Amino acid sequence: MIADRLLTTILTRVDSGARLIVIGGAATMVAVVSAQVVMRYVFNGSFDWADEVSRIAFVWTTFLAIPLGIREGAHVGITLLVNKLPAGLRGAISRLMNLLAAGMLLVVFWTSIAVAAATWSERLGAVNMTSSVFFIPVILSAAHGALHLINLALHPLPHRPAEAMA
Amino acid sequence: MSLFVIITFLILAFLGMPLAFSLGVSALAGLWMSGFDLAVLSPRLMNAVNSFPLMSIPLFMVAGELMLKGGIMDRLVGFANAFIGRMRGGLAQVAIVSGAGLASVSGAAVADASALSSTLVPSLKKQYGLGFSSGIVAAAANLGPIIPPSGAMIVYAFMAGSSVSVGGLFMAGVVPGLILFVALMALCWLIAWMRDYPLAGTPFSLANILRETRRSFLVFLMPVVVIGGIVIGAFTPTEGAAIGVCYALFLGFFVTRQLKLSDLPEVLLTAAKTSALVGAMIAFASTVTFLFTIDMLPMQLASLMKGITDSPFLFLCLISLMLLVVGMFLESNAAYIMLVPLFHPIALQYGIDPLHFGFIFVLNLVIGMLTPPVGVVLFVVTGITGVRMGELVRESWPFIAAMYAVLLLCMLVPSVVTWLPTWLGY
Repeated sequence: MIADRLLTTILTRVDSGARLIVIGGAATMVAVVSAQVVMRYVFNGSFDWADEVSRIAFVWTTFLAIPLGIREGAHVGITLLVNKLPAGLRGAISRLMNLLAAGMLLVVFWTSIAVAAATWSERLGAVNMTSSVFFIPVILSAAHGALHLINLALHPLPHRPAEAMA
Repeated sequence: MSLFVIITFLILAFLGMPLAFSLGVSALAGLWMSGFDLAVLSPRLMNAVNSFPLMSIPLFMVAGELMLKGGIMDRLVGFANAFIGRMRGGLAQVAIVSGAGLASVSGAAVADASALSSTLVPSLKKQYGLGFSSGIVAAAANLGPIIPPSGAMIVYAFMAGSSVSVGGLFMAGVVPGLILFVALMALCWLIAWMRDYPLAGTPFSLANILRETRRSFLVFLMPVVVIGGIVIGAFTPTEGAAIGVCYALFLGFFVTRQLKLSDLPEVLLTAAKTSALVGAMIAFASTVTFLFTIDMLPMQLASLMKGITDSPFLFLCLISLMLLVVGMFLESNAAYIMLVPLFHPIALQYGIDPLHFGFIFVLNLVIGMLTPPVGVVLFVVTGITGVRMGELVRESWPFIAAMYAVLLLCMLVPSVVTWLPTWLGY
């Protein structure tokens, strides 16, 4: 029970933080990419860091938004077959699938830490920053996503008869 | 090994695991089976998403959402009503024109279906009943990924690699999109005439037309600026999408004045979450396609297809048949991500124009969004209007048939698709 409450509290906090970063990342993409066009046509120049910064923002935004989709059950799946199964069996399969996916994300989490550590000393071309900055959102997303999937295995979403689609 | 990965994926997918994670688990199993270091997974996931062109997907989504929040639907409907509202089936045609207008700024059928259903169906159903009204908006929404800009075409071009440019594929959709637009309008007229629906729209008046044209002029200027800029090479699709966002902000804040600062976080978050669903599939599928490439699956598939037929047209027919079946069970983005890397290179071996094949592929899957059992546009429309699925499918069939007729035309006469992009130098 305590572990359950702790997991819910952690997820609520992490979700809020992820939402803020995702909004900030998306805003950064818009600002940097459009500023680059303005620089090119109005000031006849360019920011040499624009490409790298916008890609960093995009990678962070995408990976940190993936677990938010898990929370809302928005990731697309084929539910045609399982919807025809009895409720008990459907629930058991759903738990198993969530645990399998969580296991996969934990492998991604673990291997990404190793890759980030190995690339820590490499610097990006235009921004004075470690190239591991691209792997950090993968690590965070995998851990956050795995926690959501474990939570879903413990507390499945209500049954939805139609295909899920955001 | 490829077979093992495919079977694992299919088992997990049909057991209800989200497609992105089914791809991830089957890729992980494939790596483990082949004795690869599992550390290759992480760089592949990251590199698949670390792409400047792919950034155009969330940016176009933000632009479309901002345009809708900024109240463009009202202007689009007013414009269409002034021109064609008084024709036979006028309100239905207003929905088609509004759908085409919306398609030229948004590029996503799901968002368009949601916007058209909530704004137009309440007035449409008073004249035509709920079933036909819902069928019209579902068909109109399907113009979204056909008329540029198109999220589906961006995903296709990204998965196909350097042989397909986003701008070229956008242009490939213009002529077929216009043909489909005219076909849908003619169909509305015909059905209204056969069912003797009353004349219901705004009476034709030059003053009204001028007023509505002035009101909606800036809305229609957006695709001219964004798509025009991409086509003439003034900016990349991603930059064009960012300009679209700035344009939508200007329109919403200073022209329609319906956009509020407090709307922005929600719009950014929604677009990011929706594009992350596609991003997750692209990331995990990259490892699966890596395993397929190691296993030389595309080459094996190419020799298998060549063994069946040497005719490019028959190849296109086979692909269309396959996509018809795939579209019944698989969400369209998942189909692009998994199938384009396999079949696009084969199409090139048949000597098919990459833009022609790309458009045929996209149109097939777009039609699949309107066909049961996994027609995502159908689900959105039933969810919002409350129409029964059976009734919606029954009323949508004439429109689906029109889409298949356009598909067949594009397959038989490739220049319908390739003429404009070729003329523009793609």
